[in-house]
Amino acid sequence: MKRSISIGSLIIIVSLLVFSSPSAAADPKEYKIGAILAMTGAGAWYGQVMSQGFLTAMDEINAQGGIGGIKFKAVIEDHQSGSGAAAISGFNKLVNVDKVPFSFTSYTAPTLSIIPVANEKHVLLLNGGAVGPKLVKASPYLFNNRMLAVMHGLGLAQRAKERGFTKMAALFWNDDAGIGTHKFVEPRWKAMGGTVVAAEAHPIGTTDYKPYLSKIMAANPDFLALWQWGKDWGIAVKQAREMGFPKPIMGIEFTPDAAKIAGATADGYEAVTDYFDPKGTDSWTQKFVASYKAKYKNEPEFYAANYYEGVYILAELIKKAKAKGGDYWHGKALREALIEIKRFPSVYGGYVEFNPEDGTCKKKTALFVVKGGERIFQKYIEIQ
Amino acid sequence: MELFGQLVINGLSLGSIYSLLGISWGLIFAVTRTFHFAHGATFVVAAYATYLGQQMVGHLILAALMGILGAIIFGLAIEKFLYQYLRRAFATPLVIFIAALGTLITVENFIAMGFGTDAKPLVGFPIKVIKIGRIGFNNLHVVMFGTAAILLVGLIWYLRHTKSGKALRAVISNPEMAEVIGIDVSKYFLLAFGLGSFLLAPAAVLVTIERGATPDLGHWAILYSFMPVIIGGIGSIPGAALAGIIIGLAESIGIWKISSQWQLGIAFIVLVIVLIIKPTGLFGFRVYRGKI
Repeated sequence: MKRSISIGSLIIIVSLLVFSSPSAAADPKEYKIGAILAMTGAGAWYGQVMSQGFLTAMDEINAQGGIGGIKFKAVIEDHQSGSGAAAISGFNKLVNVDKVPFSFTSYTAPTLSIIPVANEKHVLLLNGGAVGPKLVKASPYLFNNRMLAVMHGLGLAQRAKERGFTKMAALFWNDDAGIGTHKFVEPRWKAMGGTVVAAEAHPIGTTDYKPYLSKIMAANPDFLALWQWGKDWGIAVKQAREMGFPKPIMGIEFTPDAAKIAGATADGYEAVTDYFDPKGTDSWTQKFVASYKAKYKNEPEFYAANYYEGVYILAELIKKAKAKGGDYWHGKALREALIEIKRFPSVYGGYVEFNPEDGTCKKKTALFVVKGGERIFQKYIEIQ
Repeated sequence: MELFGQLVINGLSLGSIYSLLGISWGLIFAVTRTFHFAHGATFVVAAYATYLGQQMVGHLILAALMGILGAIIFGLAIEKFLYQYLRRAFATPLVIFIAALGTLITVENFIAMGFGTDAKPLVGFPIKVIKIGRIGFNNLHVVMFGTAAILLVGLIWYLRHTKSGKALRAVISNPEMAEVIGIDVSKYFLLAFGLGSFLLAPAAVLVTIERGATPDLGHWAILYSFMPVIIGGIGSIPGAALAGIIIGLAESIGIWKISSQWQLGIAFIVLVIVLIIKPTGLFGFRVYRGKI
């Protein structure tokens, strides 16, 4: 009898230990997070600035002792500027070897490639760079903390209509982002009473736009719409102007390196894009810009800002999930925390608000015009 | 018709660059029989040396001269310290090819580490747009065509009328016989690398003015370096120059009725068609006889 009581007690004690209060879940030694970025290839610039963005935030948080004494550590894998196969291989390593419950991602095709694994292994993904239309509602684990290209494209069409244009020529990346944006905008532009007189898709990283521009010039459009990102728009604008294309050029991207390539030819280029102003008056913006400049000697642009902001969003998720108890360092718990909080402070100033239904977000979007290599804020755009 | 005229103009300017790439690589290959994949690295070195030069001295012409000098030094160094070493070690052509490929990738990566991956523009070229009806081009395109023409004529004159040029032709024709009659072949290998790198550098400068310098330019440059040589016929300098223009025109005019994104495919279609019809290239017979 005595013996059976002691065995019963043991079972109760073990059960209590195993099924005790969720708050007893062990903390990780460090918050190790993943990132699937373009570290090599034509888009290596993106990987460079995006990683610089989140590393700046991590350094800031780690310098203050981390979150509850636990510091961040990043493991970066390379999708070689858009390779789905490289993304899957890198992501499998992040999930199976590094056991990350959270990963940054970029580019549309690599992000779509890793989604099945993220769904299966419950890894929360945060994209601050890719803009492809297929990212809308792509996975319950994917959230985008930048406005997607289709929305910017629509904003551009609204602006073109406002300027009285009807004949659009479009030059765009021949990937999901470029083609998807064009397919999204084209019917809506036609519904606004416009026509598309030329539509030219080109490989990402093209350096010679003369063939595409020749066809566009022959079609005699009212304006040229660019569904391109990175340095591509700068080269395209420069070559268009140097071929004597006189009509307005509008796009959904502005990056300082592309503006540097375009030089004076970019004057008058209009961009509808995320509104991150490194000279903004918001105190968090100023702190980020100072911290980034001290580390990298350059002013950050919105790609770096999105990934910087992403780390602080994650920090909020960790705090929320931990407060709820249980195995909080897990993709499911982090996702639930994001859905609960939904609205986070943005380094742009104001807030970034996620839509849990489709993973998109709302952030400041504005119309800029380029002058002397700088983008000049014109007005906010309310995208219909 | 305007579109056709525009495409011809584009093809000529693009073809001029391909011609320079072709004659520079073709000369090196004809003399040394080395599949000099690191020619792409020389292109990148020239582009970045020019960029660096402009940061230092400001003036575009001086910067371009620094770029040309950088390319020559790099080309000579590759021959002297890599290829000559490998030849002495009886390395097979495949080993030399892999070493050259490795050099290209290493140089591109080092440049990316040192300068970053964003495009580095050259400033100071006074672009003037030239319009004929709705056909548009600019004075840079004219300079591209003029530079290619001057360097081609100069190279042919040099090879036909100077002592060292004639010796180079002798090495192209029959290196063993050249050695027998007292020509120091290894010295002429070096000369070929120096000359080839010198001819390549202006193309790098002009492309950088038009598009900015990026570390991955080397892969593009090497692709369009050997394509004109294969199409034109190995050993034929005018053949490589003409093939460069043909590729430029074919790529440009080819998109008249098909989507522009298939431009690179058109260049390869030309390559395959020429090789099927004439496997030695358009002027391939000249290789055999060693005439330039």
